[in-house]
Formats: sequence, C-alpha cells, structure tokens
Amino acid sequence: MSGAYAGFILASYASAVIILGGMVLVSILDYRGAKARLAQQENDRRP
Amino acid sequence: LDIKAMNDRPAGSILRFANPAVFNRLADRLILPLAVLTTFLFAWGLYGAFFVSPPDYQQGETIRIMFIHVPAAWLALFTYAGMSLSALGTLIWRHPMADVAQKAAAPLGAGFTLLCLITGSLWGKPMWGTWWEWDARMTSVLVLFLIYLGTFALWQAIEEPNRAARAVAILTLVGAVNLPIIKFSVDWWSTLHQPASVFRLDGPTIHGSMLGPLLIMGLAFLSLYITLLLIRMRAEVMNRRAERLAILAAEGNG
Repeated sequence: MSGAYAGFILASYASAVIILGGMVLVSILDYRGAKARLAQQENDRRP
Repeated sequence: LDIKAMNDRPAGSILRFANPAVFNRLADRLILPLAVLTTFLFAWGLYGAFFVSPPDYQQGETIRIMFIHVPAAWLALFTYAGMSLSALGTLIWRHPMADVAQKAAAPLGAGFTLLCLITGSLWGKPMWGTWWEWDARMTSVLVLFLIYLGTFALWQAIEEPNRAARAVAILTLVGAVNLPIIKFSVDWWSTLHQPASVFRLDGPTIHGSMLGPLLIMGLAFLSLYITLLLIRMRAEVMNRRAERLAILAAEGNG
C-alpha cells in the first residue's frame, strides 16, 4: 500500500483495531467481573 | 415468568432458548467456536481487502477503507434492528432475556456506529475534500449514535431494572424510525454519499473482486457481533443473579 492516501487508510484500520479491540476487551472484563461477583455471592450464601 | 412452561416447550421451539438456564448452556457451547470462526473470517477478509481487491478506478487505494466502513455501517443498523425486536419482547411479552439482549447489544451497536462515522470521515476527506458534511446520510447516522448513547444514559438514570428496561424499550422503538431514514436518505435527498451498491433490487453494482472480500468482512463483523453479544448477555445474566442473591442475603440478615 503506497500513495498519498496511505495515512487515511492506516488511520481507518488503526481506529478499527482500537474500537473493535476495545469492545472485545470490555466484554471479556465485564464477563470476568460478573463471574467473580456471582461466585462471591454464592460463596457468601454457603453455610 | 413461567420457567417450567418454558422448559416444557418442544426441543425445536426457539422460545426454549429464552430460558436463562438453556441460554447459558447454549452460549457456553457456542462462544469458543464463534471466536475461532471470527478470527478466521477476519484473516480471510483482510487478505482479500489488501491482496485480492484491486484499487478502484476512481478512488484508487482509498477503496480499502470500504472494507471496514461498510461492514461497520451494516452492523450499526443490524444491531439496532435487533434491539428493536428485543424492545418488542420487553414491552409485549415482558421477557427478561429480551432486555438482557437489548442491554448487551447497545454498547456493541454504539461501537460499530462510531467506527462507521470515523472511517467515513477518513474516507470523505481525501475523496470529497471534507471531513464532515451535514447531509442526510451522515446526520442520520450521527443521530443513531446519539440514540445509542441515550439508551446508556437511561439504563444509568433509572435504578429499578424493569422500569429502566421499559423506558429503554420505548426509546429504542421511537428511534427505530431512523433506520429507514438512514437506508433511504441517499435516495430521498441529494447527498454527498453514494447510493447503495450492494443491497439493491437490481443486484450489486460493485465488481466481484471487491464484493467477495467485502461480504467476507461483513460476515467477520457479524460473527464478532454474535460472539460479543453472547459474552455480554452471559455476563448480564450472572450480574442479575448476583444482585438477586445479594438482595436475598440482605433480607436474610435484616
């Protein structure tokens, strides 16, 4: 890829990596957080 | 909600999957294979976008931006259409999994819409000579992004989950009027944006060497969306169960 518009193309793909990567990361962190919270609540209920 | 009645539905009934326990089992089985499929589709699609698709005869190499911009736009609309169906599930059947789906999908739709706006701007500057124009297509997509943000704000603003779900469902259905405006804005008004070139009654007008990689990238985005939606719905189901247990514990202590 070369030419005058390479910067625009690279910026587009970089923004895709940041936004889609962010969506993946936040979803995984939310999942892990929810799993830990539920495990904590279930442990607290055990006699 | 009659969980027993849902469990008693025939195996083929799609409503069985609306039972949180059945949904959890299904999601746990699907997430990993879908993640692998997503990775494969992105690798295949990006190879096609950079090594199979030729430069456009008018737009040159900037056509590579299309392989991100167009699938992001498709998923921005697809996600909102799915949220509108979930909103009906919340308002008509008052089904808890409907608002779980809606809450899980909204951040994903906002992400796709933001990506569509940013890549559109990055494509517009070299091709049209402007980063932004207040024309019908761009403005209606910006409105879609603001509606997504509005749903987050409503979820945060109303503490009681059932009331929040109903308010978000109403906002989502009101906002659904924007979907045909986005789709047909390029036909109804004079805009800088080009008309549809893939989903047309008379068939795609885009050359096959570009259409193939574009459709594969579309499938990659769709697969990513379904994977993340399942993960987020799974997390929301666990969060609600944890909240219920916390309330039960508080009532037991009190």
